[in-house]
Amino acid sequence: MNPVLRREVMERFRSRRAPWFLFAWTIGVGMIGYVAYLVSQQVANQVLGRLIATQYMGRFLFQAMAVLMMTAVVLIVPGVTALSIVTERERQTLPLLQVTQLSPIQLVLGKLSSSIGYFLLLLVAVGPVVAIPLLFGGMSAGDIGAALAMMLATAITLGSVAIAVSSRARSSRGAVAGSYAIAFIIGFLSLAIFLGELFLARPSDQALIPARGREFYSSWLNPYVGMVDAIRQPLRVPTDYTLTPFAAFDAIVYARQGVSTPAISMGGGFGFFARGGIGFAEDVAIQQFPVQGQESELAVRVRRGPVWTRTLIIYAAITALALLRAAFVVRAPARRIFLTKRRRNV
Amino acid sequence: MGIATLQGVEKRYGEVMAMNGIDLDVPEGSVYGLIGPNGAGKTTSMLVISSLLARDGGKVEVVGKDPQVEPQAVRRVLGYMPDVFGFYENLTTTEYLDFFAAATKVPAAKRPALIADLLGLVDLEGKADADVNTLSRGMKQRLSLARALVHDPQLLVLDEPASGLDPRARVHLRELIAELSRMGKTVIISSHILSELEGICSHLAVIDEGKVKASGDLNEIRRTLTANRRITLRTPDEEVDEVATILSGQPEVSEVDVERGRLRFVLTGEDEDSARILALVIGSGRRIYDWRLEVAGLEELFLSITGSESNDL
Repeated sequence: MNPVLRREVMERFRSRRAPWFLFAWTIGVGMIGYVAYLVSQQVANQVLGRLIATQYMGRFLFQAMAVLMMTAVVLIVPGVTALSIVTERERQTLPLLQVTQLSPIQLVLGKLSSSIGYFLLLLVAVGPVVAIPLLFGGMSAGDIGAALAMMLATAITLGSVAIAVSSRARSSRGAVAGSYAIAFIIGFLSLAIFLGELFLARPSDQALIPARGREFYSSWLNPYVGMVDAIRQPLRVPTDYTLTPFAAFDAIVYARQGVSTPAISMGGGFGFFARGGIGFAEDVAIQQFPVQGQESELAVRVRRGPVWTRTLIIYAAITALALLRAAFVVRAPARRIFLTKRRRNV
Repeated sequence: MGIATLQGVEKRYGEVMAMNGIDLDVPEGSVYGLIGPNGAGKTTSMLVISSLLARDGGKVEVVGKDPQVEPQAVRRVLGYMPDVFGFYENLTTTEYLDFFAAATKVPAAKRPALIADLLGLVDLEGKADADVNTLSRGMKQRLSLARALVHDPQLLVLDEPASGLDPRARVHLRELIAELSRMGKTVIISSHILSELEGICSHLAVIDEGKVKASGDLNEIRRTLTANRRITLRTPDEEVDEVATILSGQPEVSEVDVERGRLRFVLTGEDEDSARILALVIGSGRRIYDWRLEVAGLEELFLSITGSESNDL
């Protein structure tokens, strides 16, 4: 076991803050899960029949949990990881590690695995809450696996970026600010840029229908879009009201494939958030353009390829670069002594 | 060739030359003191030797390896103790040492016995389960020394180890360093407080403004720099004048001075001359209660080498 990981785990879980944070986190997720349950129940009771309603509720809860967990990745992982190297420098333990037999990459991986491990513990702690949708059905084990895999990939990427920022930072505050800035760019700004692209790509002022098959590169970077694309769970039940938490992201996925979801084609402005469904859109596309060999909507979609594979490739590249960068910065002998704001007298 | 050698080593921080052609040759088994004021280049020299800082020029070898080219090989035989105690939260002293033992690739099976031995060596057996943060400063310094020893290095680099310690803790630390020297370790130790190094160094380098002003065996330096040695003697009050007269008649003796019942004079000769003059005085029937050769202190040496006064020293 990496000694840095072992020590970090001991240090982290013996702190007074850890159990309180875990407690607050579990309560918070439980409460949000309960609210999601109430919303889905309301929608199901008012609009859908009993058979569809159960599946719909399961899916709604699953998607709500997936979006919530992904948001937790974006908001928690940078905060947990950003202090990893800069704290070593501030408490002047970095030179002590540098003169050991640990390689810089071992040091960096020890830090990363500690942070990711902590996040996995948070996931496990809320496992029972997250598993509630399984009681309702409406999703497969593969959906859950895909969601968790995308969350893990995002956590590793954001954690690596935070470690790279931390290795260069002169203060804890700078490390946290820098890590969150990049996490927000990846998690939220990319989504905002996509929406801007979508708006600019519309053929007329009357609707938000994008140009068919247009690629939206900003969507490749976004973890939510990647996750929604990786899950792909058609409801396969025709309905004109399939509001789920994935609807907005789903619209993005289909827009770049030249498929206008009901969310887009039927809505105007923010109305599309309320109308449209992930699987429903796919069903429509398949039903409308079933003929092989024609320039159909489905053919366009296939040529484009999925977003999530591109997201993973980009994340792998970011992770590799960030970890190498961090290892390069913490290597010794270094050309200069990296001083923190606390200590400038060497 | 010593265990660590530096030849014309240069290191620049922006406009400041922290090391301006430093030459050092640290013999194996020595306790090598680096003295000089703050900012002289002592810490930078230690960082370069310890493979933590890359030099801009010159040549460095530690156990025949260049720390810049083969840092891992150097780290296997080198223990480094910085001038501050780097601590971790919520760890006991045993866990603290265990972590660094693991990081220096000490096999897990050997660690419990090793840690017990080290805690015994630094007199912290009773604190094995104490939280590191609850230790006194002196204890932390000793723990830090134990940490530097976890992989049984040949060479110890101790940067200002006694800084901030109370007198009792300083004495304890000095005894510990002497013990390490007896165990055959080579110790490079720095301080800007010269009295800290008094009595423990076998070799010395005086560093100022990034340059070595003098270096080598401490006794050699003393002899070179203080050719005229001062002797103090005590004799009964009624015999002081007669002894002074005898001393004044010797060609190797000058500046005979009586001060509060003690006689002081400067001897230009060697130890043999000192013995001959003492025999002469006793042979004349005078009683000598005390005859002491005053050894030049590090502070005196430093001032005679650098030719300047510093309040920092």
